[in-house]
Amino acid sequence: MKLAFLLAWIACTAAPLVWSVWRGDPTSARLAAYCTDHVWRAPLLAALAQSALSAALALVLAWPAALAFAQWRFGGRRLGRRVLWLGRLCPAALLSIPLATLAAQSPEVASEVKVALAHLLFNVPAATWILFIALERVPRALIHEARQDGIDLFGHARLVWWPAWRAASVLTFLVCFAASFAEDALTRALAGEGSLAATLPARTASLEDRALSSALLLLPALLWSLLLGVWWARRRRRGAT
Amino acid sequence: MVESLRQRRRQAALLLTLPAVVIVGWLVAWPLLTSLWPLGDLVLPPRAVDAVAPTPSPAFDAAWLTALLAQLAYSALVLLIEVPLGVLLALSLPRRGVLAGLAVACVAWPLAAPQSIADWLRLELMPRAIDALSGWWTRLSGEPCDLSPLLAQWSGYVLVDVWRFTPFVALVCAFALRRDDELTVAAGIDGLSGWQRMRHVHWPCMRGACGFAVVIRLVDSFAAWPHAGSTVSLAAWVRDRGSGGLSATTAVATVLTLLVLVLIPAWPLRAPSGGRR
Repeated sequence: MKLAFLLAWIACTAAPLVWSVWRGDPTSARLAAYCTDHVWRAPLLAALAQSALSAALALVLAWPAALAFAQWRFGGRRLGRRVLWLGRLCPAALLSIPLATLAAQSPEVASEVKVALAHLLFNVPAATWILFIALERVPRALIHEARQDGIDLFGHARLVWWPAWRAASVLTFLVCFAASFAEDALTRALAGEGSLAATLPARTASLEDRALSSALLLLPALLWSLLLGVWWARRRRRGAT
Repeated sequence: MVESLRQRRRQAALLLTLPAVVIVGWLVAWPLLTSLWPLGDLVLPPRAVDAVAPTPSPAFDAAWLTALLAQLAYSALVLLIEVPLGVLLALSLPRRGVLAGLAVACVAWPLAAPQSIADWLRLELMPRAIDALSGWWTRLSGEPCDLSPLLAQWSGYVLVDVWRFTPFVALVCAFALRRDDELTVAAGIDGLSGWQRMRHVHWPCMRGACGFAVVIRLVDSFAAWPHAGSTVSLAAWVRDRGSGGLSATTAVATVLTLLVLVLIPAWPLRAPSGGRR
């Protein structure tokens, strides 16, 4: 019964992809034309680059914050967490116009960088939260033992925190990357007509072209989910967090 | 001495959180300030949109209330569909091995689908699917049947939302379920029925995660209104009165939404596993 439900769900969600591929008539000549077409390729590469940049920046910012939230009680802890969650919960689309106005003041900065920075709005809270859960599960006894053994700060980070960090960082990066790649309102406001969402539907004319471009657009999503599946299977095999 | 050490640790912890908090706080606060007050004009040049059209004053009429209620109903409908489906999906995912990873990969990919794909589904694929269904139904029943009203108003948005974000609920719940392996074995030995297993083993494990997913999806579906082209949504209200620019109406809508958002997040402030010390 469970298996039937799972298979039915996978079939239903995959139907659009299958239809797009079937309707898009993906001959090798058409695929080659798409892969070498700058108009189609540039927004996709920009989207991938800005998503990766935003996820990496979010990781860097979230590491120390998650460590502090998970291990110490300090003044402003609650306020800090509320600010972070406000960023995650605040509708990005509402901030898109003011942020676009702000971004317009610095035309020398590449739009990919602007979008990546704006996506920190929701990526930093999500990354902090995931790393927080991972770091909170590090046993207290291990931390105390490391302190009693006189391990220095570097050794402490390497022996105590790094295993938990490493495991959660992969998931954090994947989650932030997907959130950034799928986000539309801020990207469209900041990158304008150069954004992935704005370029593709307008460029393609026939139904076959639209179907094929949609199917190709889903390739990064499929690759992303494959990486997530690998991570999931490895973590399950080890029985860890 | 010990107290001094603790004090220094607290200060260090505060410093560690500052970069993340300041950046996120700035990204939220500065645009809001520029929306609400002409404070931004001290730094930024006057905006073209203000020069062209005077800002209309917001009017909280019956249309606003209707739009707000419609938006809440949309969010509730999305949750009513996504949460049970997500929980069922989480329970049906394999627990171990390569199959678990493969199933997660097959289920999770719509989460990374860009918005243009969602638009493609809603505007092009679903009408064709509905037409095909209508044709089949007509052939089967022998009577003309038009299912296209199914796509009117919210149905298309709801279906695409379910397609894209049910995996999020499923993955969050499945992530929480990883802790109940031993309990499941014990429940099997004790001979618990399926319902008892769900109630006493699975649900306590994923209750917190499910609450977290509900809050996130509620807020996201509520905040997705600028994409909703429905004539009764908050999007339409702001579009009609705000002319899509940086207007007082947008600012008021922002504040209203933020008020809702500030009131909501009780759950996400702690880990869904209840791991707060």
